Amino acid sequence: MEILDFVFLAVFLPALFVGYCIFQKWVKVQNLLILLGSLAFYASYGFDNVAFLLFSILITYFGGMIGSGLSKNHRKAGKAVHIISLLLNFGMLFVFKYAGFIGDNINSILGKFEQNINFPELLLPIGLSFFVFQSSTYILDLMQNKTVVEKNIIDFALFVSFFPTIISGPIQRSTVLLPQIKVKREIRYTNFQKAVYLFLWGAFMKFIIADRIALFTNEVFGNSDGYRGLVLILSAVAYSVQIYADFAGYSYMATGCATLFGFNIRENFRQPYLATSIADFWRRWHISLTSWFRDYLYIPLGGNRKGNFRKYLNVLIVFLVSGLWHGAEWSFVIWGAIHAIYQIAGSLTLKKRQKLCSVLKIDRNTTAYRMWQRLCVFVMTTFAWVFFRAGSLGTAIKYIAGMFTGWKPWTITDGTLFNVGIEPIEWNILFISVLVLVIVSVYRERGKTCDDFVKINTVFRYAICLVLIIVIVVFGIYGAEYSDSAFIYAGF
Amino acid sequence: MKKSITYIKRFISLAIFISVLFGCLWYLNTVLIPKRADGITTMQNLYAQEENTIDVLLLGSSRNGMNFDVSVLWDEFGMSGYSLWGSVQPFWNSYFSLKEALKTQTPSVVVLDTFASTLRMEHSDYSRQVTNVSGMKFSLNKLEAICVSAHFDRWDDLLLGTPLYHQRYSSLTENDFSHFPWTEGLINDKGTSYRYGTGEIDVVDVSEITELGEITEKEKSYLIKIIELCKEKDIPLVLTATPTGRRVDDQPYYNSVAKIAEEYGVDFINFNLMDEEIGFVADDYWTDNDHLNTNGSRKISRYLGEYIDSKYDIADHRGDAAYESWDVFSSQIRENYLKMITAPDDLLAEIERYNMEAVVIKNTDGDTGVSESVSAGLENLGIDTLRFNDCKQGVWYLKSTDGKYTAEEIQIVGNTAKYVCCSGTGDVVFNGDSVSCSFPCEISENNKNDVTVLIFNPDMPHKSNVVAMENINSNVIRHIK
Repeated sequence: MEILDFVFLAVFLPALFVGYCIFQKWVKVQNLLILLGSLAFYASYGFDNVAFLLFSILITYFGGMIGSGLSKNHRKAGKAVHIISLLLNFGMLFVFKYAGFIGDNINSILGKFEQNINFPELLLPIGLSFFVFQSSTYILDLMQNKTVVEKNIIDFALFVSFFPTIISGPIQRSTVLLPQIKVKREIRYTNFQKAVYLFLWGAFMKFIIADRIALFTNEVFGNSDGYRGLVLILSAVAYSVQIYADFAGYSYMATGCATLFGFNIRENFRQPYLATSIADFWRRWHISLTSWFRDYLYIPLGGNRKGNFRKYLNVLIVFLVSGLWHGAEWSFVIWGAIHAIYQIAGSLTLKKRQKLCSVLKIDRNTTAYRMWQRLCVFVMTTFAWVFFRAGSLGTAIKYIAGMFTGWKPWTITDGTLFNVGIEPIEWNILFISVLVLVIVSVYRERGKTCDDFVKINTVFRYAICLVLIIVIVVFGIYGAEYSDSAFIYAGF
Repeated sequence: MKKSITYIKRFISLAIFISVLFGCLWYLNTVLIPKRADGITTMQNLYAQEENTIDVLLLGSSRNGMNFDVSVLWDEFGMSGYSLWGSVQPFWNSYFSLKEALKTQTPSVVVLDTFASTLRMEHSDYSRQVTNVSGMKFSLNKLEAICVSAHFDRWDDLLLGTPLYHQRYSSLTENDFSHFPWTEGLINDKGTSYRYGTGEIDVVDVSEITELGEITEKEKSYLIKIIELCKEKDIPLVLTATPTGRRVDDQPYYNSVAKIAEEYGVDFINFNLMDEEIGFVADDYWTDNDHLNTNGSRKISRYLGEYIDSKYDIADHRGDAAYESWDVFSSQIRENYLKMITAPDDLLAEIERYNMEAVVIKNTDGDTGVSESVSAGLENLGIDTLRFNDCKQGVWYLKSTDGKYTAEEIQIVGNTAKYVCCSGTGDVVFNGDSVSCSFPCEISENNKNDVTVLIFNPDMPHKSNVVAMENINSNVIRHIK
């Protein structure tokens, strides 16, 4: 049962919401209801997965309870329990996500000596990276005294397994979500409206843009040896839009679901391609993960407090780990490294770039300059996404080499693009829908939010909703032939 | 008070929004649904039929829908038939289609094709699931049909429909926007589809095959459900197995069907054992292994009509205003068939079969003759072929009286020949290499060395076909209009 399945939208969500409304006065019953719903939702991806989720819930819950209990009199023992709890969580992630990767690398080295070790192939439980990170925030916050021990196991289990966020985030902080679980949440009509708008916008991004682009990028990235020059470049550009529309689309839908139940989920994307620097990009992209790394890795490592060298080293570590978090492949590590290099190089050259601007008398406060910066950020992130998408380091390198050979500008006009997995009418729909995405992004960049949208004329709002639903129903890439199209970030 | 008004306003606006939304989604679904004649439109058009007008309800696969011609039952026996078929339709789909049909119809006879007895599957392939359930209106029958037809993970798609075919947005045609419940003319479609042409089929005698094929439990249970439903409703059921080129493989299953039929006291006509009786002495009655051509389907339809006529008391509805749509259907069948014909002798035979009026125009630059088979066809229509072959230009008006054709040669005055047909007067004007006609439809064709035939469908005189036999001896037909 995915968040976009008929069963989810027509049965699961309405039934849960009706039950939630019935028990409006009893927040504990509401929490139990959402918890059971969340476990059922997660179990629908495979019943075996639930064991991993329960393991994470239990070791974190008892780790927190015991550790904090011990800390009162035996600080070190308490800390040790917290660390054990963290190690068990991250150990589970390590074993299921990285054991195969490490095994492959060991075997590739042993292969040179004609040796081989048979490592068991483990199936990664869906959403493992997300719920491990989510539950670990609780322990880490306890260790930093940012939160208090949660004694109610139902509330804690709900925090870890909250169904809108368990599969693909956004990763929630214990300091943000747990307090919302504890208090009475009012059912408001405006919340219902906001939930619908957020969900529809997310579905538009996913079905109309991301999955339509996937028709093109899957073909090109899947057969990159057969394409050259502009087609590869266009595909890389398209993938930049695809991954944003896919992941942000899911985040909007998840936020919509949470809003329906009165929860306030933090924004996960803030127009990342309108960023004017790579550092700015990371303040806008996958905010819940980036801020996790900032607060629980970068700052504990010393952040920028221990001189420039340590700062750059910390940036490098954070991005390498971030790359590994996204996937157990060298291509993800390189992707992280590229972003670290962007950041370090950007920081190192900042003064020289500023000087160059003043020598050339370039006004850095003009719209044109900001557009130039945005273009640079987009080009740089697009280049890095090639490593992210290619699947392996070798394929990524070949892909990039192919971008600079066989340069044929006429492929844009001679119909070549119509034979690359996507038909002319689909290009037209894509062009219009990306234009809508740009307009909405600019609208939001000017500080407008869903709350502002709720305030505009009712007829206009309803008309937009109606058009969105019809567009999604008719032009969305979904249905029997597309059932394999999963969310890109669910793989992590 | 103010709060109550706010709630009422919200409720009304939401209700309006949901109503408009559902209206739009219904409209879109109706436009997007494939207008497939192999299952979807046969069910949709059943809903357009007047209540309790169907005498003979035919159910099953294409071996029913394409092998029986309902127009023959009407033209020759006055029975109002409807072919509610679907591609490779299993018995479970036939069962739920029958239940759906019985909501508005009380047929005198149900004819069920038993090809499904040869199928060995738990569910149809996906496209067949779609064609066999998508035409049904939302109902308990549809829900049950979906549950039986497909695996659980397909149920939601089949129920909603739009997820299955929403991607048709790039291939919609005018037809997709003219198939709503209120669209005029849906009532005139009675489900029959047919093919033109001849395929080579290995026709063998299977009367010696006596082994029993094992019908799957699921198919068998639904066959029995159909039998019991018909008994419960007191509707005679006739099981059929139409002639097939796969008869060696199928016969064991038909033997099992025969056994079930005997057990339940139901009629079973296995045409595969009746070649001589039907007159299938050559293999030119098929288009492929499973489907008969028009010649074949007319033969077995006539047999079925005679069989039903002899066993059951069904009134002749011809001339009854309530059954007018069967007249229109029959005319349309004729019209459509004429458009399919590619052999001149088939064309002339079809004119003769339905006693259609026609004008034959010859325009050559020499005294060129036609082939022997065409000559024979022209002679049957009353044309003096010696005269026909000897002249360079000529116009003949053909008319049947009491089943006998007469051909009147129209005199060409100057370059114009005037003729009087069933519904008016027309001109044929020769302009060197081309001929133009003013009635029933204005045409101007370069037809040097062609024979042009204007065919008047007696039921639709203003929709006449114009056919050219190109290059008089080449036996090629060009459909002009």
